[in-house]
Amino acid sequence: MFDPKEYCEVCRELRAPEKKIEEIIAMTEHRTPKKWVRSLGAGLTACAAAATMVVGVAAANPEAAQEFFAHITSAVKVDEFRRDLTTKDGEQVTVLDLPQATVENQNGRAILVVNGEETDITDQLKAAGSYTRELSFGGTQVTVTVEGSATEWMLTTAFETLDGGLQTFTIDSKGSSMTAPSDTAEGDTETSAPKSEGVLQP
Amino acid sequence: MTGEAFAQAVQTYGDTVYRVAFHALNSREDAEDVMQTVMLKLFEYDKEFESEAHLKHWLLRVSVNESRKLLRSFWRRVSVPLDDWRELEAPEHGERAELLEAVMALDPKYRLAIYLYYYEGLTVAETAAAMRANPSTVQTWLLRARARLRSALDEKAEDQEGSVYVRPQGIL
Repeated sequence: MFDPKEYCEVCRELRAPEKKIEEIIAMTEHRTPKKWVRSLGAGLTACAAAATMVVGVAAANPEAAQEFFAHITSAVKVDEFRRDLTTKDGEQVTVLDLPQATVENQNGRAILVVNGEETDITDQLKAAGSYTRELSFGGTQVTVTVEGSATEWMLTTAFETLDGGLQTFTIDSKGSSMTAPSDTAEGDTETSAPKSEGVLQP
Repeated sequence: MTGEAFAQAVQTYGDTVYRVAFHALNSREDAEDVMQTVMLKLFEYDKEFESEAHLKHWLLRVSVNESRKLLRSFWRRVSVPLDDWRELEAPEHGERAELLEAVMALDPKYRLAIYLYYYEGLTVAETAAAMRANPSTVQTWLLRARARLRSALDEKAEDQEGSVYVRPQGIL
């Protein structure tokens, strides 16, 4: 039976981490701000690691995205997918605009969703362990590769940069993410849980 | 809002915002992110609050909205373990763990309604305002939530002495 009194006692034990509270207060006091990263909600999440921020901008640019861009003082378009930005705090940020790609588990079937278009890739995953799709996005070839299954998968989006390098962006079913330029073995970013350390994807 | 007033508000209501977000999203990390977003909105809010109650209502409403945004955009793509709450400090007693598990197994809107009504002590109308729903809808959610909790939890003994529940006084 649902005991509201007991429920309230349990809720009382649910507390925000003190460190997070202090961080929030510190941000607004303009002390040496930590390189905070915040979820920008509605299809947009920012990730900062080693001065590289990956942001996927949703087709319907949400208010949160506008708020984010209000902090940008200058922007240089590097290529179709990449802009180098400078924030109000002088932080250098690289913004990658990626097509929306993810895998959904629909009744045990692995459905690849790219910019809203759905493809059942279950059989290909079972047969080959992976599925690859190449698409043109803004005149540039983008490769989307999925490995795993409907319940445990890893999706990598890759495209060639202007300087001939390869930029990859990986997410998995657990919500972790990683970006990696081709000249680093493990990538110069950390694999991180989606929110506070950054994430990705539109 | 002055820096000092803001810091005070964060200390006072940080947990409240966190709990709302956690109930909506069932994820500690998401809840922290929403808390940060909501508090930044508070910092940038350029109007005066009429009262402490007004401030709290505002925070609850914005917390629900921000959680909803994240729920719509992220939740469908990222699979969050149902038992993410286990990473929190586990309730001491087995019954409490069972209770929290049962609540967190409900649909987000039911969880939120239960939290706002029972823990925050909001009336049905206040809960509806925070969740941007009709009061009658919230009534239905609460009924259904209680029914589901009843069937999910073991029936406790009728004679639990001293277990008299008094809802916290409403905000207004």
